[in-house]
Parts: sequence; structure tokens; C-alpha cells
Amino acid sequence: MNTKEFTTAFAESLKISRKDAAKLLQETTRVLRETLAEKKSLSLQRLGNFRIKTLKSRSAYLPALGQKALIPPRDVIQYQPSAGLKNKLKNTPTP
Amino acid sequence: MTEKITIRELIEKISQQAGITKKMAADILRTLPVIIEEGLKKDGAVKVKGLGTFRLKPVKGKAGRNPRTGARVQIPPHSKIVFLPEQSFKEFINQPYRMLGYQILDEKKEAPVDEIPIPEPPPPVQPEVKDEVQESHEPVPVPVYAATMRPPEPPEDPPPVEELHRGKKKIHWIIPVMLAIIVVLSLVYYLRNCERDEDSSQEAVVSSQETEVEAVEPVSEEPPAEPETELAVEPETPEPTFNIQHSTFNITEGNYLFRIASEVYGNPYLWPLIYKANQEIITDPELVIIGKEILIPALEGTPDRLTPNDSLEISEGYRLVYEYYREKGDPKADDFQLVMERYHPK
Repeated sequence: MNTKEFTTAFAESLKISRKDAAKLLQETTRVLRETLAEKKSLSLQRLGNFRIKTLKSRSAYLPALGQKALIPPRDVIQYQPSAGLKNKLKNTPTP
Repeated sequence: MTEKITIRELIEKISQQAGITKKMAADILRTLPVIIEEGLKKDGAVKVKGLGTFRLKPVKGKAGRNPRTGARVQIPPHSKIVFLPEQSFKEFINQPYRMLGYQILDEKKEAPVDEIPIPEPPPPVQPEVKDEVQESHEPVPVPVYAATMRPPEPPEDPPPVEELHRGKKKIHWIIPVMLAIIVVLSLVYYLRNCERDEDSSQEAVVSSQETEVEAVEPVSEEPPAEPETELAVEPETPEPTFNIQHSTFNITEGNYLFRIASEVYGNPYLWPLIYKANQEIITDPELVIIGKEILIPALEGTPDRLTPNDSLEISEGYRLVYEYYREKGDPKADDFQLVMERYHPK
């Protein structure tokens, strides 16, 4: 399902125009992004939990440079699907 | 970090941001999972613009055990849901670190990262430098190093071979104690230096300090080093002024970054913050120009309670100092790298 199909489905289920749907989606994702950027975890019913994990800086060998380097810390986004959704899609064949 | 946003807060935020009713916002949040589920059922992948892609991933069947009973069970092949955040989302999340890049470590010093935490950062005491560039341009403005004293170097050279043979435990214990004693000495020296008239008895201070170092180091195996540091630190912070705003500071004679930081932040070890904020004016951390006005950056938290952002700023400052010394080939660079890592928010 690509962005276009997603927006269409979204507009249909909320009974709004495609244009409005696109705008609302943009605003919603922005709020979700900003929330996570504040390092707050968020859980959406029937979808699951999102949280930020901070990976510490470490030193590692970088093959591209051929040298050992200190890798800066970074944040990664972790998603844990809700149990209900997980079970529902457990037996869905993957294409 | 584990702070959680409630659904209600989220709805409120969305309704404010998009200028819609709360009911509508709640509807949006209710609809999203439904559509994602539909999409996953339909073709196994859903792209949500602004967030990323939800995808079904096949998992092979495998033998497992019931963690509660220990009974063997066969886990059948199934699909699991994975979320792949899009590039812009990742970048957005990592904005605070965007200034940080890879740092190539020399072959020689691979150890510092794995080393045990050192009790106190080596004191970056900055020798004061006078640079008379105020009005008269007749003399060539060559920076005159009024004082050539250096902060006491932590023991860089490896411990003697006999000690190595005795076992690792002992060495691990000795290094922090040695460092603690050096820190105490330098604090004493710093305090004393504050009281004295800078011009008159520089050399005397240096020589007496050196003798002290030599005298005390053989006794370094004594454990009660920790309380001493605490005692010495307390008078160090005279008046912690909190809620410092961005301000300026006029450099007067006899001042250097270490002391300025001590005055404005109440903690001399925050001096790289000032160094970082005044990169154009100050190139050499040991050299400040009398009469120049420098910017004192504000802290988000207090000097006692730094916010992660503050720590990051300080760490950045130390990184600049580390890079400066590294370029010069000064062994002090290693110390600053350690401090940089210490201040880095975990």
C-alpha cells in the first residue's frame, strides 16, 4: 500500500476529501515525530508502542576508512506491535 | 527517557496543530491502525508518509521451549510486523547529534573507551596569557606566556612491569587513586594560585607545586583519596549563580577560561562551553586576549544538574579542545577525549 492508496483509504474512512486527508495525515505524523523526538514513548491503540532508544557512542573498526574510529551516539526508533495486531496478522502470508 | 505520552495529550496536540476538534483527532488516531492493518493484509507493506513503512516479515518455523515450563514446543512459521522508519524521520530524531562525526582513533590509544571510569576529569588549568593588543601597536603583539605552568599530567606512561605481573585488579585500583590525588593537588594548587598575586610569585608556586607532586606520589597507594577530593571541591564553588542567561564577559588581566567558568558557572570544568561559544575570538584555549568581550552561553539546567543538551554542549566543547590539542600533537589531547566521553549524555 503506497502513500496514495493510504491517503485514499484514510479519506474514505473519515469521509473527508483527499486533499484534507493528506493535510491531516501530515499534521498527525508531524505530532508523532515531534513526540518521539522529545524521547517520549507513545502507544497507539491497536497498533503498538513506539519508543526511542539511545545507542551509546562506541569505537569500532571502519572498513571504509581502514581505521578504528569513535562512532557518535545515535537514537533509534523501536516499534513493538500490539499483541492483538500481531496475532491477527500472524498467519497472513507475506508476498 | 521512558516518559510516556498519554493518548489524551496526543489528541490534544494533534487538534491544536491541525486546527481540528478533539473528536476528529481521536478519530484519526483510531483510523490509522485500521488502515495499516488493512494494508498489511492486502499486500504486506504499508507506507505512511512521514513515518515509514510497516512491513510483514516471514519468520521460519523453529524449535523452542516454553519459558515457564521448559517443555519443548515447535514454533510454526509465521509473519511478524516490522517498522522501518523513513530516512527523514531518522534524521529528525537524531538532530541533536548531527554535529557529531566519526573520530578516527590512533592505533596507540584504542583503550580509552573500554577503560574504567576515572573518578575526576584531569583539571584543564589554563595558564594565563597576556596579550597587550589593546591600543598601542608599536610592539609586535606576540603573545607572551606569563606563566608556563601546566596542569599536572596524569600518569600516562604504563605502570612498571612488576606491577603488571601482580595482576590486573591492583592496577585498576591504583589508577583512579593516583588520578584522585593529582586532582586534589591541582585543586589545592588552583586555590592557592587564586589567592596569590599572579605576577609576583609565579615561579615559586610552580616549583613548590612540583615538589609536592613528587613528595606525595610515592604514597599514592593510600585509599583515603576520595574524601579529600570532596573536601577540596566544596570551597571550589563559591557562589553558584543559577539561571544564567546568555551574557558577555569582559576579559580582565589575570583571567583565563578555567577561572571565568568558575566565576560564571560555579564550576571551572565547564570552561569548554565558553571556548565553544567563542571560536572566532579564542583559537588557543590557553590564550585569551585582555580587553576582549566574550560570550557566556546559558545553561538549560543548572551547573549542578545539567540537562542532556547541556552535557552534549560541554562534550562538544571538550571535543573541540581535544581536536585542537590533537592537531598540535599534545599528549593532553587524550585527557580531554576522556572528559569528552564522560560528559556525553548516555
